[in-house]
Amino acid sequence: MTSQLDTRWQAKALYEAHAVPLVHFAATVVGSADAEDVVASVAARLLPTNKALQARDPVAYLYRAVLNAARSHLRSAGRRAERERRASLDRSNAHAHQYAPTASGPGPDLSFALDALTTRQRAVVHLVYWEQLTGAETADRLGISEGSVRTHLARAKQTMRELING
Amino acid sequence: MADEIDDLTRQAIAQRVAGSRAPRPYEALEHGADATAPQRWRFPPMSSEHTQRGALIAAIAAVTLLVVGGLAAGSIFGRDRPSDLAADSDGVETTPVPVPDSVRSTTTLFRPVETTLEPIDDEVVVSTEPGVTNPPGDPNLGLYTIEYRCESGSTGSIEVLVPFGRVETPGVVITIPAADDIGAAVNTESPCTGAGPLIEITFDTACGSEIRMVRIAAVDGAVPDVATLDICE
Repeated sequence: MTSQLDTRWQAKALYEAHAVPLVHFAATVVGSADAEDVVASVAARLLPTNKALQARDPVAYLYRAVLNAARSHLRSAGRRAERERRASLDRSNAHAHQYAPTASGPGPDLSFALDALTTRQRAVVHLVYWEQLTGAETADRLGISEGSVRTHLARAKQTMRELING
Repeated sequence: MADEIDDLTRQAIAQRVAGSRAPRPYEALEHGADATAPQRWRFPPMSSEHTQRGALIAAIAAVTLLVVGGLAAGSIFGRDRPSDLAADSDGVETTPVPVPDSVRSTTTLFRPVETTLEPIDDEVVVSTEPGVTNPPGDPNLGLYTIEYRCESGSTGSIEVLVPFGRVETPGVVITIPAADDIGAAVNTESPCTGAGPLIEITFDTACGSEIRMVRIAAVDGAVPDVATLDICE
């Protein structure tokens, strides 16, 4: 009984400490609208089973689980078609707006630019640019090599550069 | 250029992060996957075009089911009569042919169980007399156990399955066809071969509610033709 309570409190502490960053991470990967749903589905599935707590790095385990759930989410054909339709609309609008942010306002909608990246590239970009992790930390978090992190980051930048230059 | 890309990337991430909802409390997730079911099972709002298309598809499906169901019901309930099937098979319309009563009664009394059986008269009906057991599944047949005695003293029994019944007058029970069948069965069997000629046969049958033994003496080693037999005398 005591161990069950301990497990529950550990799971709750783990979730509450990392739920917000996980939702932000999911937002970068799948978009703002579905990010919380993806994290909630992962948490509801994993936390009661104690799997995350038994992992060598529980935080990294949750990030990878969210990334996998995000992949499944994006794999849906219907969602993909809708997303591509919206992305094409946003892209045409953004070219009309220019890319450079303006000092007077919030600037053009740039979130569509992330759609041009692969899922893994979005995850790497988020951890490096938003959570400001090093290459090694990013590699540990995603369970990939540091060289892969550098490769994904370089290709993501190249894609963004091509997008900006038209 | 590199700084510009970094800034734009950060801005893109910031826009996505800013647009995301706050995570739900842990307590809402403790019941497992059900906690997220309502949000995961959202249906997009249907436009009027989608609604009309859905209604049209449903209507077509309903009409198709009705037509197919009607055809299936017609084929099942409308083709169960042989005359209908015959008319369909050769295209000639047929009319029912009246069947004589004699043919009808004969068909109910012919049984391919025993080669000794013969069609019996119309008045023969199913026996309810005690002492004679009907074989399972065929109330029109009676199983007689015929005891025989040969000249050498050897005895035995033969089971003969015969049509049986009762004549109108209660008390005079044994039927002529039954007696004939019994005699014919015994003569065909020739149970006394090698033991001298047949002396007599005996069997039990009913006289009203009383069981009586019938004894028929053999003539020249064979059961004679029995025209009539009053077993109650």
